[in-house]
Amino acid sequence: MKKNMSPKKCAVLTLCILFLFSFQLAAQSLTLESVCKSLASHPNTTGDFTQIKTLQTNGRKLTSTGKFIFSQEGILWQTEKPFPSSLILTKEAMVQVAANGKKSVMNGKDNQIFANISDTLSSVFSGNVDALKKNFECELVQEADNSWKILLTPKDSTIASVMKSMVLAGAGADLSSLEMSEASENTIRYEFKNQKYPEELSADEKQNFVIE
Amino acid sequence: MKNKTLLLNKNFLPAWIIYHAAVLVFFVITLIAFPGKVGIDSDLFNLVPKSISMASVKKADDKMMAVTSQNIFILVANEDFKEAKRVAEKVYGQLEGSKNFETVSLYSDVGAMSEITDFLYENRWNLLDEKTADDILSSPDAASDFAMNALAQAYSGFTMLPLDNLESDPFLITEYNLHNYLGAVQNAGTAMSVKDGVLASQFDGKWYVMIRGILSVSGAKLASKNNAITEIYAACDSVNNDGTSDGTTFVFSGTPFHSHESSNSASREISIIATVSMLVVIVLLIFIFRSVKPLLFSVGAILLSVGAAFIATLAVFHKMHVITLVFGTSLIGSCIDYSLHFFTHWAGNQKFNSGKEIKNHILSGLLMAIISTGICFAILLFAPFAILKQMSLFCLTGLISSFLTTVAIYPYIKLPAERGNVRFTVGFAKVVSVLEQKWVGRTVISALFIISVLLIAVFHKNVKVKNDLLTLYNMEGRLLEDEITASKVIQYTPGGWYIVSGDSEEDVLQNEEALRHDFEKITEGAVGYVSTTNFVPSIQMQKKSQAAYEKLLSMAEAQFESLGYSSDESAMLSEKMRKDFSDSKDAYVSIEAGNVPDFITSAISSAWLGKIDGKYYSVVLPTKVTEYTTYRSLVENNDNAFFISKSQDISADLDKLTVMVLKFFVVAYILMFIMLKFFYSWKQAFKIISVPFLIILVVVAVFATCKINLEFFSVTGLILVFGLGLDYIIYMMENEKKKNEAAASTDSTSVLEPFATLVSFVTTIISFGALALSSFKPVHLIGLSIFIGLATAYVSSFFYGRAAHKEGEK
Repeated sequence: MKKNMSPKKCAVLTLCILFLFSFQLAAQSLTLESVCKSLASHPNTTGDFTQIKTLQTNGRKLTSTGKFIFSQEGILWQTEKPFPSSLILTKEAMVQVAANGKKSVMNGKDNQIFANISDTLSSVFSGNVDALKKNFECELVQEADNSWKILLTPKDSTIASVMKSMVLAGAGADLSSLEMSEASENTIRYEFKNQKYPEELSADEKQNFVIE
Repeated sequence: MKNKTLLLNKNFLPAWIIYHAAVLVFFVITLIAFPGKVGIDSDLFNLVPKSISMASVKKADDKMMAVTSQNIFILVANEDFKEAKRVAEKVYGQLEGSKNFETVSLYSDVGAMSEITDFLYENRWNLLDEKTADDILSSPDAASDFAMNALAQAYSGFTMLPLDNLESDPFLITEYNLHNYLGAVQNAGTAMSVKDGVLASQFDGKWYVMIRGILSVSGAKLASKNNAITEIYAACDSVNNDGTSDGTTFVFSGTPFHSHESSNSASREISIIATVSMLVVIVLLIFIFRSVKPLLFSVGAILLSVGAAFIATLAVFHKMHVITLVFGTSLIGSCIDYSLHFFTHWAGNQKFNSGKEIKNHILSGLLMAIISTGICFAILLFAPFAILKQMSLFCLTGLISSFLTTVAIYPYIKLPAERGNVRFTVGFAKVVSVLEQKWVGRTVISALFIISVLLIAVFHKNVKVKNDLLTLYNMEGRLLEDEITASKVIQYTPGGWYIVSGDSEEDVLQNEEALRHDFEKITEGAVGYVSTTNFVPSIQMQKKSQAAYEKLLSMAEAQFESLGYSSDESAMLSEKMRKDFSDSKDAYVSIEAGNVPDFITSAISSAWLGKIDGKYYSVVLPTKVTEYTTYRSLVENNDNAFFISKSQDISADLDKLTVMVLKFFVVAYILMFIMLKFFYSWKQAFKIISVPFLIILVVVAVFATCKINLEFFSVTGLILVFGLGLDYIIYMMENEKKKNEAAASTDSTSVLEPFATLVSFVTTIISFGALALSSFKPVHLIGLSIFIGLATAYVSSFFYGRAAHKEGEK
């Protein structure tokens, strides 16, 4: 009759199996598709952002903070401090809300500029790998700590004349930062914090995407 | 005819030589005096009369048309943008540098953006829009709002421009002006926007990449083989056929494509009409006269008359429209009349022993015929419309040539050995004897009158003088589909424009700004437009912008501090801003000062007309015309602005011209009656002159029944019928008179003259019947009214002639 395994041995064996399993997981190389798939796994992402604009000409930095929503309905970029403003991007329109609350709406149906911007930004935040590859040359860099960076270079010469490149950084299914290098050598860095992944947006949050 | 003996023994040969030599010499002199200016015109726009009601702005309008009518767009379509762009680049590569184009452009130079932003930055205090400047100046909070929005923009996630100039432009006025500029560009033009360096738009699952072009003078010569449109089609075909283009299609848009199509159709129609007419004439002549001589001489006379008409028209007008040629081919029918009258006697009338005797016999009829036809054609020379004048001169010159050939050359043709050998004359004589019954003639003519009057009474609501330019040219097939697609993709369908005038650049710009203000009010900003002041405001407006800027300047220090600068830095930067403004505040953007950059000059190329005859003109071109009446009413009491809508204006002008042509008709009617009274008795003159009246009744009745408006071109056709139709009754009357004068009224030769008239009627009706089959509505309408009118003229002449004969017998 076989002797029963002691609890200690059992625990060690379990740990070994877990170690081996995790080692195997770590050894698996990330692909652009897998990163995008995990990014796209959240139907909605909300959180806070810090935006730092660095001006190359005088080295000054303009820092602002606010909230963001990436969702199926669209993207909300709500700057709160130091001066409030909002940018709302849906499939149909782009709305900018100025400090005094004045809205300017760019309708997408008959505006090709909007369609281009919408297509490009949506491809970045939606995790749609095909859309991303259509608009950018993509390069994935895998870091040792299971984090990743995606370097995006715009294919469209018109967009490239404004934006040189974009670097998305994150770990697992979290997007932690985005840095945009402009053709003028200025940079805009966004850091994302307090991300949440609600299955559904609240009624107030949804209201942001109702374009009147 | 009372005075015919005066001309009977006259030798017309010197007249024939002098006439043709004069036409030739005139043409040669024209060629020498106007080298390179003589040729064929196939521009579709020239088919219709120019707007005659606005002479003061006509030149400005012509300049505008000269620019816009030579614009072409090629849309290269594919589901894949890259493929559409690749094919567009190939087509562009083939067209670029061609002498057929003033410009061809595909790429929207992204490098131009820095040029634009530099200009907007350097002139930032001059270019604030009127509403913003007014708000800043009038409301105490508006300036603060503007400054606050600039701060929010600077800290927001999205600015169109880098913040490199923050220290000299803390209110982000350059960014604000760029928004306005791009809005104006978007508003002014098409739904196309820059994508990957080219203008593109996505519609219905396809990408459309746009190639734009302006035809050069040589490229716009659509009658030539190697014109711009042919080159475009060839370039697109070669790309399609090289096997590398996968599912790519082309959409062509612009007036030159339609002009090219109409020019080609016209050429095809000329060939068909001329060939059919000539074939019918050839077959008839050979068959009837059993000899090739009448054929050879008739064809020679036709060629000579068409040639004389052609060079005379070119010599007078320098440019002859291709439609004149189409219409001019009907000369074949008219010219052959004279030949037929001669050769019928030449082959069949044994009473005459020489060509001279035949000439003397037919001279009075021919003379009356050419005078009546000539009067009608000559009257059209006074119409204020070049195409009509051309048609008139063409036919007039051709007819005179043909008449002179008949009376000057034909008498020298040796008579055939066997005579009295004309086919169909026996059969024709039998028909004539049956129809000679007085009651037959009276019944037919009465029936024509009564039925026509009844039809007019029943369908009187359809009797209207109304022209609609848009129905004159029927777009069809590929071109129609292309225009529909292009209008959906480009979303640019201008149907009219405002021409704004002023005594100086500043004056016209101020007038334009006032008009824009009113226009935006009535359209509630829903309709975009191209205008000069969107890009180059008046100096008055620039001063207002500067005043608003000065108000913002007073808030500069606080603005800098909000952007994170220290108090000292803010004070120093604000001081520098004030100095920069003070140094440049007297420099304004002005076209005459020459400081407008090329990209703006290009953007306003169709809007700024500049100085014309001492006045300045610009154009405000709405991207679409939603309500003509409203648009027109906007400038009703404005002496400095005129609304022009080609289709509407030309239709209205055609209505006026139609009424004018109808008045010509009355004049021709009176002149004709005077002439007839000179040669005939009162009764005969009344009889002859009643024929045109019947013609009008029948034509109006048929048109009313078929719900066809009495349009300019059909009424013009009536005038021609008037001239041509009278020939028949004149020939008949002359013949019957001769028969009555002659003792042997039963002579078999008496049927020859009516027979010649019948053959000439058949040839003429075939020529004009062919015109009625034309795809060009104007030509079709002229052909149709002439066809109906001539048939009526012949039928009534036939029976009038018979009745006269019978009366004479009694």
